[in-house]
Amino acid sequence: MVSHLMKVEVQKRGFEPNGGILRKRLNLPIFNDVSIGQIGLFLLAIVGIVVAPLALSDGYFQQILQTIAYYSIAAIGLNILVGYQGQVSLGHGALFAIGAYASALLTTSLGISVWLAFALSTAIAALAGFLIGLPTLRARGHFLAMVTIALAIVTFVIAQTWTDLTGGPAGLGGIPRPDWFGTTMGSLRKFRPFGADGPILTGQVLYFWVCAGFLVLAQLLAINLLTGNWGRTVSAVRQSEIAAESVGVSVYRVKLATFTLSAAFAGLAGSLFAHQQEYIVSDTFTFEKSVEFLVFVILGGARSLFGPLIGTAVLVVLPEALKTVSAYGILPSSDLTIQVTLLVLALFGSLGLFVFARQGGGIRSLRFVSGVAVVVGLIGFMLVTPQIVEHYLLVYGVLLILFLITMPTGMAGFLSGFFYFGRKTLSKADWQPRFDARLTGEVENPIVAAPSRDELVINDGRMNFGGVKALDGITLVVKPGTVHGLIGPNGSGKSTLVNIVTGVYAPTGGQIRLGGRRIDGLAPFRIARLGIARTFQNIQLFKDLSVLDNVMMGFSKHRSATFFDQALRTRRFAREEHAFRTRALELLEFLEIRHLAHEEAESLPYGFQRLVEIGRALATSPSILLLDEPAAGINSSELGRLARVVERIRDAGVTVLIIEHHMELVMGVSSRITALDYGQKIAEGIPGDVQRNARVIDAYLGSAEHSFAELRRSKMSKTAE
Amino acid sequence: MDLASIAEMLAQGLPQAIVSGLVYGSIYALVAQGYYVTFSTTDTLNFAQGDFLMIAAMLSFTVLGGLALSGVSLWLALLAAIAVVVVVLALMGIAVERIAIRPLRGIFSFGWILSTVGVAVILRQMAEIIWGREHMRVPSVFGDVPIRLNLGTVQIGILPQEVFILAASLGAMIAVLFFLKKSRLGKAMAAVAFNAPAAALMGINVRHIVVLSYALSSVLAGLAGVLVAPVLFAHAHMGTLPGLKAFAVGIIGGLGNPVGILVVGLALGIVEFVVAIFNASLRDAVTFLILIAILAWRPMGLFDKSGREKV
Repeated sequence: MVSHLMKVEVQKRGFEPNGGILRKRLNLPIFNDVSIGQIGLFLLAIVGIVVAPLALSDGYFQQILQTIAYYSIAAIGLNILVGYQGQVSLGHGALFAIGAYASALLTTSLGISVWLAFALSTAIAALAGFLIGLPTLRARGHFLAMVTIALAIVTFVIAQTWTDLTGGPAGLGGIPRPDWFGTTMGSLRKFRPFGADGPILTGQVLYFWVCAGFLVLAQLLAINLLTGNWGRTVSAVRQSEIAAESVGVSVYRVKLATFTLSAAFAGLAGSLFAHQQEYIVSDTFTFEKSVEFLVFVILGGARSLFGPLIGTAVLVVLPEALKTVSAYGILPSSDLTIQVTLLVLALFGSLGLFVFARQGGGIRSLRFVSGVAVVVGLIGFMLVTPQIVEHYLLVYGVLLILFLITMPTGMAGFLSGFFYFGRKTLSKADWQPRFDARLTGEVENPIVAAPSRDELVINDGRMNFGGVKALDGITLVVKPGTVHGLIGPNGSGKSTLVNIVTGVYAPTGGQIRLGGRRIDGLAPFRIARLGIARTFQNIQLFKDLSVLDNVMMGFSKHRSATFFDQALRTRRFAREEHAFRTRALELLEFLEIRHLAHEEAESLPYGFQRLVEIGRALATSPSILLLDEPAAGINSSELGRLARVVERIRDAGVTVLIIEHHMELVMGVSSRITALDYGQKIAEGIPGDVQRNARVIDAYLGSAEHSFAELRRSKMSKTAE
Repeated sequence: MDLASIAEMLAQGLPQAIVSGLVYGSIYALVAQGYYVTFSTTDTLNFAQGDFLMIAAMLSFTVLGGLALSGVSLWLALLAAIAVVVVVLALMGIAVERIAIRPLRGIFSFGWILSTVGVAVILRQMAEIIWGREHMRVPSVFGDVPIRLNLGTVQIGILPQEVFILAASLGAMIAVLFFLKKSRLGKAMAAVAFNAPAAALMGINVRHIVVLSYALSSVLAGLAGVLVAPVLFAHAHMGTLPGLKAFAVGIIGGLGNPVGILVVGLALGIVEFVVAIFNASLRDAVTFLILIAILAWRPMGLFDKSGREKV
């Protein structure tokens, strides 16, 4: 799957040849870097929003437009969570309800103005999301889905039964509409505010403009955040939490921020809903409401910027169209032949999608035809089947499963896959390697080491897993500015050592100090911020992100642009982004993989992936770099490059602790070697001595009397891995 | 409300609450065992489990009601209903695995959550279309005369069907656990749960085991549906809450821990009915409040021994 960030990156920075006037970037104080073409599209959207309700002069249509606008806000927020951050909420209906009830109660009971209530109820829903997320998001896995189910049920039960507050099923009425131009928004009274020749307005039109105004703000906020470093970070957390922590990102805080933001969007939508309806009943806020929001996102296109908007528009209009058609009997309703024909069409369409989705390239048009067949068949079937109106949720359910299986990128993904085809190849052509830099010295060393050179001391480090002593009292001192090698047979505790130093595990005993400061037991992201960077034995790249984005994630802990800088795209954010981008490219050049900057990280061969991990770790400006088997899986011709890279990292002032099985490499680059076996240190010294050490030779090859036991053990540890 | 009157209400209501709580708790536990069976083999579960229970209740209404009307003895009708439910629900389980679980591997990490929630919504709507929106009475083979017990000043009433529910669901759970522990198939399932690739290398057909676990899980929900149909009215939305409560039971008890599920199921049933003594409407919320509280305290559930991830 091509990452969105990558696409945006390419479009934003003018990589395309023949940029033209529409692609010209403007250096504005906010919305920095916006192109003239984008401003044009934005103005076009505004014109559409202004004109649409005037063209559809019927109050009923205007209400549908309002509904699309506020449901879209909820869907955009949910997409940030579900699509980008990768957590499911089954309780956004509840947050929507909290926004609606908060707004209704604030305006009816406390007499607060509607405009203020929009803001306050958004904040209240955000607070509710924050409080729910606070305990839940610390755990990995899909606990949010479980807790939000609970939230949905509890909220519904409270709304049903706390009738003094919510009115329960009987409802809460008298919710005011905002006043504007001296008119209550929602009244159908016509007036001409711009003189006798001006357009005729009604309160419904005005309320649509309010809803649409909020939608525009929500969409712009989502675009700015998701195409910037905030979105990069959120996507990175989705793809590898442990790698995100290793560059100093607090996964917990990112998740909490995402869920809170997403809750705020749902709350605003609920508030707009309450003031549209003027009367809300608890039966509206069932568990199904949460499912509806998810369907909007998935059908429109999760992980796409405009998908939620598209999905919501289609799915809000669909039941309304069904009602209209069945109410007016526009189409023949009970003709069995037509119904069966349409169903068969849809069935073949989905079969086609299912088959063609698995094969790339030339059958794109067949996919398109299949997709059209599905949509026409299903929607046609609904239109000619009047009973379906009451059961539109059935249709939602079928569409949800169908889309998940055949078009997981939703309508937006389907359309963009079709229309972006040509453009993507053009950009690819522009990404031909411009550098074939060998490390001959003309590339300046771009590594920035942490200014303080700290000594890493592990004192009596212990780690038990149940009864297994993975580390049994290790004491190790890594001198600043050196390359220190760590060797030992499989299962001797090397990776466990890296994991207790980087905070992945809290050691069972002993102390770890960095420059005198205790770091054992700290969270991984805190240790990363103190200057310890690492790579992973099992590669942990952010696989959907480009190589460049992966390295840019490494700068996370050095960023100073705030959330608001990103939300508004201030100059400060743009400057920072540009500076880090330049440095990331320099690092890639240093690693001799600059020509791969825009490739998807996952698509690279193993050896290159390991280099990208090193680049990402170097971007954190570490004082110590831990390399966990950097040569594993790379071929011999790449070994020389790896050795050069390690040496130059050391030359830049970064201390390196390298775990490696490849003896030639580790003996060549290290000034000191420590050998482990059974979680204990069996030898330490300069490479030559360790190599000749009898216990080390024993551990690797087994002495005569131990050979059988050793063989068995090494077999067992291999199985364990 | 002062303390004395709370104590008085408790003293009056507690014995009844415990009895009713055990009955409904056993149902939650039975449905939750279904979550356990699929979660241990596939790391996925069927969010439509509650609606499978509903479909089973609806089927037992149709079969039991239909046969009873045509003069067949209620016992025979019940056996027929159970037979139909076992077959239909097993097929539904297989279908869900094939349509909503298997194709979604690797589509987001949570495709299965969304698709099975979709299945739940579809089943509810289909049930409304087929059986209508009425709440339907399903006859009990044991009649409707409650058994009354006098414990000093306190009276307890319990329907014979409720005794049957408790006995049958505990029996079914024991049978399932026995099957999983002792039979060849059960051991194969445990092997798949522990390490699917290794099990495959040992000649176990992992595909078949996964399908079997979904069928078994659905049949458990179906059994629960047949059991509760006579005491709850059968209707299209009857499964939503039991399904989600059973899910809460599974999370709290640990989705890998059948005994934990049994204990927590019974305990939560009792808690629900104790709460109902004071506030009937809070009954449905309390399980979920407890779930939120427990997840905040121990995210992996009460009884789960969490493993570490190898990096």
